[in-house]
Amino acid sequence: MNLTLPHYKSVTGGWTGAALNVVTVLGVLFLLLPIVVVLVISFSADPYLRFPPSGFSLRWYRNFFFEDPTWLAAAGRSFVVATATAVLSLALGTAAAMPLARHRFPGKGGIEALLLAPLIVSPMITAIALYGLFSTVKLVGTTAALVLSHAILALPYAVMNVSVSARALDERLELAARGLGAGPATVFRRVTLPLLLPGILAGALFAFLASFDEVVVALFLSGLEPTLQKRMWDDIRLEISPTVAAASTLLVAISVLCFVGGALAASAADRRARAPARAAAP
Amino acid sequence: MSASTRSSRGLASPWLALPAVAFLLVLFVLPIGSFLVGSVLDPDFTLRNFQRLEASRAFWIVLQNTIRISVTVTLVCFLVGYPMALRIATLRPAIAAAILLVVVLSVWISLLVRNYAWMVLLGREGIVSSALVALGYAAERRSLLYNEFSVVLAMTHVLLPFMVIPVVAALRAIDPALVRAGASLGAGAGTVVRRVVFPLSLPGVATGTVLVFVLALGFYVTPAVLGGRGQMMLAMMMESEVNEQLAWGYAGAHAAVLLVVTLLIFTAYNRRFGVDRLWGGHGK
Repeated sequence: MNLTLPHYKSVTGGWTGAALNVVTVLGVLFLLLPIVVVLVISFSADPYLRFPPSGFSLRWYRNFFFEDPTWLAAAGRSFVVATATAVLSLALGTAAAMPLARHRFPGKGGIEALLLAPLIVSPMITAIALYGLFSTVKLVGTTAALVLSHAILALPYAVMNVSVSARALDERLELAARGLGAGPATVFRRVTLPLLLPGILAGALFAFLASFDEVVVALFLSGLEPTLQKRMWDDIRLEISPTVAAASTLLVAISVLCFVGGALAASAADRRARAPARAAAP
Repeated sequence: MSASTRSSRGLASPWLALPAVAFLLVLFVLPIGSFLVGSVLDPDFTLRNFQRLEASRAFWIVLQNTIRISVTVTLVCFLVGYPMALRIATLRPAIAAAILLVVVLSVWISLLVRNYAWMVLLGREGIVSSALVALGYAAERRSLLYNEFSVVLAMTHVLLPFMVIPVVAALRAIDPALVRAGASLGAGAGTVVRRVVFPLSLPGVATGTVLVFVLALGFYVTPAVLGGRGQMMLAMMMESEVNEQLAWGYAGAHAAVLLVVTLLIFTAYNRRFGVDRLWGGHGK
């Protein structure tokens, strides 16, 4: 079986190729195995973290779902915050993606840099700054503060994903609708929005995940009712019970679902971008 | 004609970006600005916090830790990530896509979960400790956590994709004819990689290096969870200044140092390669 692109045969043959193969296989295992270990240990019967486990049970899931109510409460809070974050960042991000993806205008580079900055600046700086802001307006611990903060971090994903769809959008379709007498609002609702849908869906799933998995801001802002990440953090700092492994497994499952959904939607958006003629056909 | 052009402009008017920009200005730029300004106002202008910073032994040690750990992680990410990227970029599309999927997916697994995984693996009852005992390398089980090794390992685990992804993109942009030419002129695999492929992939290496290094500088969760005293990093110091000492101004001085370093790196990168390279594509 030949796995290499034809023009790279010369590069990936011999010792160089063998070394590349070894590093790549080890690298992929390095990325994957720790996560697999957490999945396995979440089904452990041991009262403490031990790998490999001496037996299997569902006791840590029982603990998560039925015995310790703080876990489900935290998961519920995270779900509410992440959903609201996705809605808010998509509303702001969809609007911003339209001009950013379709036109050049002065200040565009600055706006793009501003959108990316929250992903680059240390989350601790952002978290402390937001903690300061929300302390002065007495909103620390509120869902609103968490949603507004998480939307900052989710916005770039919303804009990036909607941009892919927006670039693919054939403006002639909008012009045709205008020519047929539709008002701008109708054109947006009936033509633009449906065509942007794959990008919006992908953006929403990634924005949801960005919030659901966020730790540092939640440490400062979640107050007395922790998000799931904050609840796990507290547990890890104090006792490291295997319940965290059960919670982690659920988080990984949510990540995989959102990621696969997001990637499928994004590739649908991308396909449309590559085949604009078909979208424009009657 | 001109009317319809204008109406299409209306659907993508630059003003549509205003809500997002205003949102970020009010909730991101302004709070960080006031956090930073707080380091030189108390209530009048003062350089007290920066003088204290300069005189503090703890600060210089923590700054040293931060830079040492970030440099090590960046180096390890390059040494592992470049060969991975080269292999991925030279694979047939279907397999390459499958491997890249794993790499990108791992970015979207919760950071805390990935750090917790290392606690499980490297803890006293973890598989590494068991293996060392079983193979006779250690007399008894012991924890391999709370040291530089565990922090660098876990940070590499988190940041490796940020090296691999841009390098793959750069490698894929190389004209295959150049590679073929090198080989047909008699260069061996190692020479082609060193003299043709690597130089042409440098923009991707630069992007990966800048991303990994800058993200590492600001890390909090991994050193806090997996590190010991000797792995105290700037973000941890800021956290304790705010939460334990209530020294906002002093924390702000730390933040200023971290932000200035970040900004300098990005300015240098932008001069040479253009920041818009970071923008584009979807996902992380």
